[in-house]
Amino acid sequence: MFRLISLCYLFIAFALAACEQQPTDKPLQYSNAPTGTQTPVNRLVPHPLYNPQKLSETFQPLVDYLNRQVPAANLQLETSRDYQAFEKKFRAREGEFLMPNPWQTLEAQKVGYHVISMWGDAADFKGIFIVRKDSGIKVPADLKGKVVSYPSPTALAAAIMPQYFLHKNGIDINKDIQNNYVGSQESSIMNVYLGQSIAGATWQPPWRLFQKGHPAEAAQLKVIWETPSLINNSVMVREDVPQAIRDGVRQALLDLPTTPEGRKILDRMETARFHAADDASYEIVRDYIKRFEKEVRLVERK
Amino acid sequence: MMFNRLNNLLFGSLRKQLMVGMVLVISLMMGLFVWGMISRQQDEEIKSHTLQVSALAESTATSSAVWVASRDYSGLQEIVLGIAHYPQLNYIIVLDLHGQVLAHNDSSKIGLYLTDMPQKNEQTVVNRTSNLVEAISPISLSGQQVGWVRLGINRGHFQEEIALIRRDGLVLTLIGIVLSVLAAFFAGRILTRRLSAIQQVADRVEAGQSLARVALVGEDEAARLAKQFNRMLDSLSQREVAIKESEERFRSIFEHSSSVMLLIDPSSGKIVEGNAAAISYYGYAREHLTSLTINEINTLPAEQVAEERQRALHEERNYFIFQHRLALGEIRDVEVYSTPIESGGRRLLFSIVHDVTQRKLAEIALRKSEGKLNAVLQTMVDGLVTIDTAGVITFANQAAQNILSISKEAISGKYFQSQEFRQVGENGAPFPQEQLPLAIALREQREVSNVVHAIVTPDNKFKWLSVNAAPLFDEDGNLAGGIATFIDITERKKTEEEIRANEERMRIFFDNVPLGIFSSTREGKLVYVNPALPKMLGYESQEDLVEVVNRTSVAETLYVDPPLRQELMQELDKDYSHWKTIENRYFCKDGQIIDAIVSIGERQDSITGETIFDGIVTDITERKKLEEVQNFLAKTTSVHLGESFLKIWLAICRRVWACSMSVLIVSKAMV
Repeated sequence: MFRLISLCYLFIAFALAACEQQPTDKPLQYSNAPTGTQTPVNRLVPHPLYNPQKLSETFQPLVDYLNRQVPAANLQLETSRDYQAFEKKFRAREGEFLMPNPWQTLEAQKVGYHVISMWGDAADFKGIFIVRKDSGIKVPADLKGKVVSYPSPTALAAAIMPQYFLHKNGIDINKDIQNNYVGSQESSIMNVYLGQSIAGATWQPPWRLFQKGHPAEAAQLKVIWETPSLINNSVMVREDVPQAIRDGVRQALLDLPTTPEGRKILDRMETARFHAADDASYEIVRDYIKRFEKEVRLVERK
Repeated sequence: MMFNRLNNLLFGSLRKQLMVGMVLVISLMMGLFVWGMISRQQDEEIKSHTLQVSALAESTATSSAVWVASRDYSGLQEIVLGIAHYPQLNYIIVLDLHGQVLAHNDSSKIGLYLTDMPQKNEQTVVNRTSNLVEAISPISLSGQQVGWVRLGINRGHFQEEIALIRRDGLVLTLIGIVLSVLAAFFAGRILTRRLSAIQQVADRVEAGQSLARVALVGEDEAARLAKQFNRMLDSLSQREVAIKESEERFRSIFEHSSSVMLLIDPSSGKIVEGNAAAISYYGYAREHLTSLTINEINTLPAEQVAEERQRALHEERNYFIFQHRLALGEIRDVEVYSTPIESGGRRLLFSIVHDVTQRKLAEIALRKSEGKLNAVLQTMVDGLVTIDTAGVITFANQAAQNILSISKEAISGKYFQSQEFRQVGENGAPFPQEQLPLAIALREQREVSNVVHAIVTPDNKFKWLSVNAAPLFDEDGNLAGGIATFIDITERKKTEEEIRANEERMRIFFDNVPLGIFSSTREGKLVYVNPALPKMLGYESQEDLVEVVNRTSVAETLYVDPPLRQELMQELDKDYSHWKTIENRYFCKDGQIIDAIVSIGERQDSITGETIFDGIVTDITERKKLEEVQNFLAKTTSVHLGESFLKIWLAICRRVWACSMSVLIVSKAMV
């Protein structure tokens, strides 16, 4: 018996030594077409008033809501890394729906987008200056020789209007201060907190979000000035989007305050409601920009 | 065959076994060690790779989320190219939810689609090829999946390291095996040197030198083994002597036994050997007997004999009844006891044969006798029952069943004193159980005769039995039971009862009738007188009359004319069938004489055969006196009137006589 077991053992040992489990080869398979049919999507592209992460957190519920209300719209949220990227997109007519700021609204109109709604109350659209509580800044003149941060040179409420405010208060923004465009609203505030700039320009919704998201940091900051209000951001649709989808989205936006879910979405966006608006509603911005460019600087370097 | 050769090659000697054992142990331990090390190394490496790949994929997914959400593909490509320098990275791909390549370390793949996209929104790590580990991680932004990252790490270098370790392990294992073989060889040589001395002695013993013994000094295992081996050889020698003695004893018993003994080969049936008694019994010469098979002796078919042999061989049966044919052709009944034995290294059947022909004949005769006895028992008129010592009924013949009105099944196996059998005595009370004849026979071991009792039948009738019982003893004289025979006397009892009643009626009649009645012998001795006769003759009692008369005779004592009796007897002898009526004169005890009419008949006593004279005496003394008066008157008045009166009287007497005679005849007939 021992001998038989020994022989079996030898056989099994050699057999095991000869065997090793090999994984099945599964090389990557590429093709020129997707495996399934794809439903056409309409991209909703908000302007980067927050960083992409926060922008996604804020606007994704709105997109989901609109898709439920207007299934044919099949909206997909698309963020932008910064204002320049956003503006580059809509100028290339990428994105069927836009949520630009007032100045960008005027720009988008040039490439075939039309206003279907205004996003928030007009009175809420005003620029603010954030400083550290220990900064010692009391009047705009105290900014002279200091660095002031903005999200982007094209940001109406967070750059154009604050600079026009400083201009009106005797500051030559091209000489008296150093303008630092940091890409986003939150970055503009964080620059102040970190001491990279003495003051940071932004507007109310981002500031309220910052206070919620960074209470410890926000406690060391304060709003020192507000600009006069103008008109709020818009919702635009590209001219080739079917009328039914356009009307459906517009009506769903206007109906948001009528439902608890809608009000919750609006709260998240730090917005009271959407108002009916059209391209003509933004003509005041055109006048404002004209004055600004004439008195302060060009919004965009050509 | 092949197995045997391989077996001999590997395990043919103790030394080989030792070497094989060492090789097995070393190879097993080294193999397990190398296998364990490689497995652990592989596991660690895979774990490390998995962690690295997972972390890298997750990091890429996080960093590319914004770019994917923003559709900033140029920025995305920059990220991918930045990561593409990671060591051993085979590919890194960022895809949208439809599997379209948004960024790739091989930019020619951008825009293409990957067909095998995961179904679940979770990170996975898979071995895509033997050298490639792939991690797939979803790209999410604010909980919303926007794409996929897939990256593959080449682990070919790791496989090379593993192969190197495996090769080194194999080399070390082989070295270990070689060293172990050498060690086992030398150790085996040292160990088996002393064992070979034992082996040599074993070979010599096998060759027939049974007295050869191992001479090893020391106290090591080999020396102890040698001592035990020597003791074993001594024991074997003793056992061999004992076996030889046993065989000789068997041989002696076999040869000299008066019983017929045969040794038979169980497979062929060949008679291997037969003892002297067998040779004598069968009548063959020894050489002839051992050339036969048992089939030639046994009268059964050869196949059946072979089956019986196999039964005996497997000890399923060892006792057989056969018929064997002797040399002269005579067929004898034999009883054979067969048992398998070992002899000369083979199994044989040892058979002892007893001739039972006479016994069988005796058995047949006994069976016939028993048959007769049984026929007698079953046909006899008397009932017969036997019981064992416990009182259980073991046999009841047909007459017993008929008399008791009970079936064989209902009586067999019952206790004779069972409540089912209700016995009643002649006084009508239950018959005492201890007085039952069988009970007495068992208890007192003696015979009991003519005990009368009734048994109540199932239909509640009395069956009167006259029972005899006796104890039964076995051949050793011990009590074995009891036997009872009985006859049905129910009818007889009934007749006796009737007779008794008749006699009683006659007695009352004789005692009260006003006629004298007597019976006497030819010699004149009174045998019987009724109460009226002594009264008639003036005696005090019947006994007084008989006693006085029988001193002499009737004629001498009572007859006024004694010769008359002799004449009367002579007339009766001539025609004894008719009674004679005469007038006679008798002496009374006081000497007076009475006149009487006597009717006498003759008969033979049914018991003694003696001639008996029966008579009826009517006292007519008064009538005679009256006749005398009448005669006197007739003489004086009317003779005719007297004649008429006499005629009437004689008619009355004849009637009384006829009646008495009929009663007497009936009573005698009953007696």
